Amino acid sequence: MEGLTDMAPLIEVKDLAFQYSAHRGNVFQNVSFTVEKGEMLTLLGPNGAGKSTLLNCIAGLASPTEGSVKLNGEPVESYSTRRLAKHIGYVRQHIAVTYGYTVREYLVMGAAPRIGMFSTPKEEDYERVEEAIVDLELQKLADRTVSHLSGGERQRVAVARSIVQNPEVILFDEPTSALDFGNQIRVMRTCKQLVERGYAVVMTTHNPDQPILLGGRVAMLNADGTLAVGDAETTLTSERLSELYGTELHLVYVDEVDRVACVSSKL
Amino acid sequence: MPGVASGLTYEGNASAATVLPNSPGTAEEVEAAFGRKVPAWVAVALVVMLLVLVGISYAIGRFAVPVNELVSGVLTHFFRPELIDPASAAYSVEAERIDRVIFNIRGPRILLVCLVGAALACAGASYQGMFKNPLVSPDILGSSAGASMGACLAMLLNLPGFYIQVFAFVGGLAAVSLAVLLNRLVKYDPTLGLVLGGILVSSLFSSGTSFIKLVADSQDQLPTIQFWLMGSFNRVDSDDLLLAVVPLVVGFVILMIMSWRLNVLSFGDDEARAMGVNTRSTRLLVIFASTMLASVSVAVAGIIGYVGLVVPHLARAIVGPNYKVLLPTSMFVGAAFLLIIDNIARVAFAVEIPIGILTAIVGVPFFVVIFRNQMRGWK
Repeated sequence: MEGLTDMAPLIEVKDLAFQYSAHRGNVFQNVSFTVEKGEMLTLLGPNGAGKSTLLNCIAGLASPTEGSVKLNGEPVESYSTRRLAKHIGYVRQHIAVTYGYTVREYLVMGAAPRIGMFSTPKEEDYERVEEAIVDLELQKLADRTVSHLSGGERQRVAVARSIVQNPEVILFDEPTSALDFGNQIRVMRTCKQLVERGYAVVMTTHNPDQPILLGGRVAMLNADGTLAVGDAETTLTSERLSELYGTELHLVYVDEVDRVACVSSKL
Repeated sequence: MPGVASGLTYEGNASAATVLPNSPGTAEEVEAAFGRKVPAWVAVALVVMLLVLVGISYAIGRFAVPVNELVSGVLTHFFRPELIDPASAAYSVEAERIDRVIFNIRGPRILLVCLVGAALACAGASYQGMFKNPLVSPDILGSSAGASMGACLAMLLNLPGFYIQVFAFVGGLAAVSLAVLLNRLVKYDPTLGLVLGGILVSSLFSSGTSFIKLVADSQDQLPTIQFWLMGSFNRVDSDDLLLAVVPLVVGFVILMIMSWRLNVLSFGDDEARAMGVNTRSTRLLVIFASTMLASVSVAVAGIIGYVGLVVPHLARAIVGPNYKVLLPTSMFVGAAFLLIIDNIARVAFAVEIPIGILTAIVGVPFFVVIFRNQMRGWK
């Protein structure tokens, strides 16, 4: 059994389908892909394609209508909330903060999966928070109130919280969609560095340039609810992207930055 | 599992230190307003403040016991019991009078006021965290409406005081259980569903209370019910204290040991679950403990509004939102707040005013001020 678990991919999504209600039809169907340990996977798709729902299914926050999600060979439903959080970290689009918690107070909440119902954080949890602060260079933000931070700062704080959680895979739900250009690049750099350090990262985006920048694998969630998966270089083509977004898009090589970029035609 | 090793690097960290254009103060001001480290003097000040208030509560009103008499009376009670023993040769009528005021009349009342104030504040703070909503109060799930109807029913049946408490408690639990059940049946957003369930149940039980008032004897029962509903510590005695103290302490203990989790819960259901907190079981425990606190409070003293709403905000302004320190602070502030109000109710006029009326009069402007300041801190 032990050997089998070792062989199993970190996350295995099989024939997944989801619908909110029968008369509205499936948001997506026949979605299958795997995520290996330490891998970067970008989920690309237009608005409303069901990217966030798909992430919620992986994180155990939504129940798929059909199909299964397995984590280390076991169905996610069989994990308790607490055990699941030891494997999966989830950085959501917005952190809704009702009260004036400081960044430090927020970060230590990442230790929640290791803390019992009637317990409080231990010394080592606070040490881990300090490490994460140094790690993500949050020293200047550490005593600020989370609700006073800008979108980009909040993203970084949420990433630090996942690091405190110490999972195997970190899910990012549209981490760049509310950020300015500089912060978008910074968040993607963080994602890449997380992968370099051994975390698997699954990130959703509607910007086709991002999977090119990030490398790794890409899963394109089409408007008809089906999925195409593969390496970013081979899977992303001008034709596919144009079809996906319903507008003319081109992949062109840009000399100055030595990479392919996705650009649209003239308006 | 990946460890925390080499540092992740960022360019352009300059933005990190700048304060948002819309934020009202500098980082230091915000930090000062929500001062994280709770200094020892705050804890000492809270305890001293409560003790001083207890002393004042003894010293004013009918059967006033000034501090010197209070101290000597307490000493007499424990070290010279012969003075208050009518069978003893040393018996003093005056000493016995003071002893009765301290331990049988004013004492239970002061202690109950403090306990109920702490209970309402503690339940309110917990609910505000659980529903991630600063406008929530302990009766949000219908516990007050349920407890009121239970107590009124006991009064209608002319049952003695003990049964009024039991009926109130059962009514409160029944109302909240019904709200939880409705939430399960509807399968809506778990937090919002609970609130909606609470509103429905509250109105249901309120009409029940109205019906009881309708059939109650208008000469005798109706005034009793009416006065009790307005809230008062006028008739509490040491029996009430003994009856209330156990469920209150159980509620306090449950919430205190869960206090850190309330922080995580205040980030909302999905976020808390993503952080590995079983929101369902945590929520049920918080609901159970808070209902216990709120129902027992209603059973003891009728409906006292605004304490559960206002006090947690005041406490948050003093020590910040971390429930580990917020809950005990709320309890102390709640006890002190209600003690002040109860003293006013006792001595301000020739006739004692129902405390529920006063908490509303004091609570509303108080709330406006605190809320205005706090909102600046959050957004």
